Amino acid sequence: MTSSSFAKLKSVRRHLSGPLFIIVINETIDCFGQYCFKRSSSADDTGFHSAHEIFLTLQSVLSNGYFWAGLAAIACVFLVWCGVLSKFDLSLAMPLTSINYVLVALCSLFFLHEHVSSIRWLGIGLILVGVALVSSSDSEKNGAV
Amino acid sequence: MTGIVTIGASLIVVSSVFDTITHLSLKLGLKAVASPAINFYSVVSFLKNISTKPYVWIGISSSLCSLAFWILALTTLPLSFAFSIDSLHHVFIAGASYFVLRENMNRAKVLGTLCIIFGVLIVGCSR
Repeated sequence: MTSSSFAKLKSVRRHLSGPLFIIVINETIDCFGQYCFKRSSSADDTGFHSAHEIFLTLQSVLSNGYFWAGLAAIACVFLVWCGVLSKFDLSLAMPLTSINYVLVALCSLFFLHEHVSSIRWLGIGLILVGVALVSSSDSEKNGAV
Repeated sequence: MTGIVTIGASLIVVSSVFDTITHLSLKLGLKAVASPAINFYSVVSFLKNISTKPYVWIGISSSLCSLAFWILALTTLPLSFAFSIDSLHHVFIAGASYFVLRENMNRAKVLGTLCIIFGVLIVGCSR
């Protein structure tokens, strides 16, 4: 193996263990969890007007497999987030979670075939620029050390 | 109408404050914990380790408070508007990281966080 390809491999490895990669995976699981929660509550059997209705709503949600899948996903997200916080600065990790907005927009576009307006794309672009800047602030620090 | 919006907006601010407390105390609790490797044994001992930290439990309870205020706020405000005010928590958390956790803030981090806040505002306000 040449030294340049070794260096490339090392840089790939560094990115894979970097905060952005882990947070993107985590936010994807989060998206999946939110989707499950949405699927677990359908509008026709949801109501909060009387004790009986609340009971029926709870019963329908709790007996739904999607709810439990969503809950498992959220527990997983919490665990991974704890892992991230044990390793990286909060001021670095927190802004990176905004990649969520980009993932949600892409999911709405590709899976739900929703329309995403151009002004919204502008906002999403700004979030991406911000994520790139914050994430680069970490490699700057690594480079200095 | 304005009254309801003011109440809703203040509920979101309260929710954001609880959210800040959540992440701040999680970070404080996890500061001294070694991050887990990706294998079953290591993850289990990490879980065992963090479940003994009072800060982690403060974080979990404050995240429940934050959720409660968020749901209350959503009964008075449309979701898109609520989302754009919620971008405030990035400001709070950046402030808390700097003043409480004494984390290093460089130009790229501050600029990036500002970009994200404006981006979230635009996404929230747009249709």
